[in-house]
Amino acid sequence: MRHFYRVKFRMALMLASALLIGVTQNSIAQTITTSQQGSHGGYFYSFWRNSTGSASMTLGSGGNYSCSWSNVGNFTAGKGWKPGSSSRRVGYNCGHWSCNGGGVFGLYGWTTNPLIEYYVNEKWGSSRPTGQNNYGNMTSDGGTYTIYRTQRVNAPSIQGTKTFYQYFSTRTSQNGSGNKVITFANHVNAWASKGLTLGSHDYQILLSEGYNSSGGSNATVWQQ
Amino acid sequence: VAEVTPRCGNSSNPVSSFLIILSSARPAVCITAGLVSSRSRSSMTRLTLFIYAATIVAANAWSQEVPDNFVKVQGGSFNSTKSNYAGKTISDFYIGKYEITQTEWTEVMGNNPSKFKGDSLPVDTVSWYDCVEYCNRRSIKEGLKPYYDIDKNRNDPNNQTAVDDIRWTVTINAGANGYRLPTEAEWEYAAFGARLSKGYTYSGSDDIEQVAWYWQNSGEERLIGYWHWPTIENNRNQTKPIGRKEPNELGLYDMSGNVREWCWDWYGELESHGVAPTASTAESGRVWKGGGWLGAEFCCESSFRGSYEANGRGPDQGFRVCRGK
Repeated sequence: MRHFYRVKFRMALMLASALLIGVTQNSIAQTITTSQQGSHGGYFYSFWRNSTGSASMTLGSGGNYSCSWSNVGNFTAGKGWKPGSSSRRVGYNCGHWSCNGGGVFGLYGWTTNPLIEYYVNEKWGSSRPTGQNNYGNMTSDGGTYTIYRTQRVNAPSIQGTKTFYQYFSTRTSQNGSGNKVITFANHVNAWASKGLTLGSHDYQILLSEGYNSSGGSNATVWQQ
Repeated sequence: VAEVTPRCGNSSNPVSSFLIILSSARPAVCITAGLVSSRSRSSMTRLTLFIYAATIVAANAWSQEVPDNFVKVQGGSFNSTKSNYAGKTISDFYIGKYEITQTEWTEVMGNNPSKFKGDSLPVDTVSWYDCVEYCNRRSIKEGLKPYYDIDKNRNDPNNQTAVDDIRWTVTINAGANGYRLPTEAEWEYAAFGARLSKGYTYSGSDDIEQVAWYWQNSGEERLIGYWHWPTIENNRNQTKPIGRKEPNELGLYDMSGNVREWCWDWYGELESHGVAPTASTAESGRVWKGGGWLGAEFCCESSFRGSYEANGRGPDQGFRVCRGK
């Protein structure tokens, strides 16, 4: 009888260990180098790179992630939510951002009906990102942003080949270090006042992107 | 494509025989089938004859020769509640069983614009303008009356699409028997299975895998997770040979997936009474339906309405045709 309970106890211990591993596995840091999307640490994540140069993304605990890239043609990486939200206050801390060449850091997402890609650019690399059309400035969260719109013609999209717009809010000067907030509703409302409307949200992430550059970033995202 | 117009005077055609009876100045003529042999018929016999003939007409209307690779869609009410046209009615029409292949396109147009080459693959990378031209050229080639009048020298005042630099004025010859694009209502009615509709979400099934090529299953490996273009591109996703998935209730293939299919209509706003919009808005174009190999699942739903500039050409954009009688 005693043996029976010992076996039961061991089995329970093993089961508990397995469950614990299962629970924590998703929040253990892992480095990825191939394009993928998924969930990690309670957040949606996305990583993509093209075949030029090298890039990797390390998924940290919670909303933390870090990236490093070298002579990359283009890569994007980030953590956030699926679906996104127009009313979300996005908190972030960018502990490290270095980009020798092209790149941006900020909030990225897209909507359907209409199909729109949007960026709130907080930091960048060698040149400040702009767009085809300038819709003037707005202020939010202690910074001044310029609103741009660019048209993508016959580009692949979730609906298939599509001509669609990208909206940008780009800070007039790069944001600093420490905890920061992007009150996305301020941007949504400012865009709408210019006739730039969004549709139904798909994913929404704090993005690190590099193109024709080398660099690194380490950031954490959360919802305020 | 076989001739579908009834040949009056053909004694083997019961419709023709019935028309002879009705048009005769002397109603009690001898009928080829030998059913009437005397002028002195009783009223009961005449009634019986009328019922017989009417039955033949009704039956023959459906046994009429249907063009090869076409399905005759019997009109009626949209009985799928998922349809944008639920409760509306529509007339009979013929629609192609398959999307137009590259072979069919090349035979008519003499070129193949497709990104993904293959005789049995649907033609892709064709604009709406390319497709209405195809319809007319094929109609002429087969001795049919072209359905469209295409004025390439006059900009369509209804076309407000910002990026459309073609803007031909295209109008229809109502009643012409030539090839044409389906209207959005016709496409949707057929996709939902018309009178045979089982109310599926996709055309022919609620399981997209059974009926459609879309982003998850149209490449070298099955993709999972979220739609992501770079992953799709790396997976060499592309169009697939026509007719390899299950057909819908009417026997139509690939209504969901493979290539998106152009419709006649402007995107605009769907009118409450079911009539097609008559003009574009600044940032929309013509309607496409059915989704394609590149797009997400929701695009393959029969009710989904997509828009694309009429001059747009994408590797996931093709069409199928309809025909008049």
